[in-house]
Amino acid sequence: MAVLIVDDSRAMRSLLRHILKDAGFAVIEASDGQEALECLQRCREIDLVLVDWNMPGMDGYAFIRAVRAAPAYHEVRLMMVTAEAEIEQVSRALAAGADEYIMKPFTRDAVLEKLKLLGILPH
Amino acid sequence: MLPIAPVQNAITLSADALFELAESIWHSLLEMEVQRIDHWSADLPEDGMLTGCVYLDGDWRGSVTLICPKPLARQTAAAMFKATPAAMTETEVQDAIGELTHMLGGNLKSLLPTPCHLSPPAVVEGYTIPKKGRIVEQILLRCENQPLQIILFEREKLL
Repeated sequence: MAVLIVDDSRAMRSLLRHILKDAGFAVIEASDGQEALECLQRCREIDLVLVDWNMPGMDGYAFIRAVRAAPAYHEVRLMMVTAEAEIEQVSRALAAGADEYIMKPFTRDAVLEKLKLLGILPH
Repeated sequence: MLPIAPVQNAITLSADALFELAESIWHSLLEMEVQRIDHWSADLPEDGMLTGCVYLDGDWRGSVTLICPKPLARQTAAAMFKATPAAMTETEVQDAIGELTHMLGGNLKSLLPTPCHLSPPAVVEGYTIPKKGRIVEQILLRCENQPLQIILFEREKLL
């Protein structure tokens, strides 16, 4: 199973990459929404995208809207990963088509728990 | 260096809340412990400091500043990259400090009046604090036996 991590911070991508690789996932990385869309076009095996909200260029919110507007990606699950903790932000992300939402800072266990909620990891 | 002076609160944000947030970030994400201290009396590392800053703009205007000695910044980056401090490049160290500063700002944003826009982080060399505005709250921490300072500045509202 392949996971795409989208974040402009290499440090944050590294943290998530280690968590996901340890859990047995193949990991692909992109630094903004546009690059992530190109990854989705190139790699049809991506099952899940973890996407940061705030990025230069195409941000996470615009990326989610773009993915949900493309029927080819309707089975791809999307999880917003962001430091912005307001409930309005969560609602906006979910309304745009995100399947899950996790706040920074997170623990390894919190990330894995979200993957269980999405049915990507067994309970 | 790194003084803690009494300050006046203008928004609903205590030093305790700032500490809880910092403790949560360093513990959850980096598995590093921070302790709150009143002052730092030892010498600062000779390698210098890094300052990370994010701006908040909206009904409340200000900034969050994270000031960190370079050796601690390097250790912090190493925790994020799962590598040794010696293997970290300057770019990776600045990226890590920027991300932590952004996380502080993003979480504080939820405690501020809306609407509120959070800027991308900027990281610069040295002990660099905003020239405009006044300190609303600040905390001094010890992490890996080095000092770490977080300052919340408020700027005047634009008319």
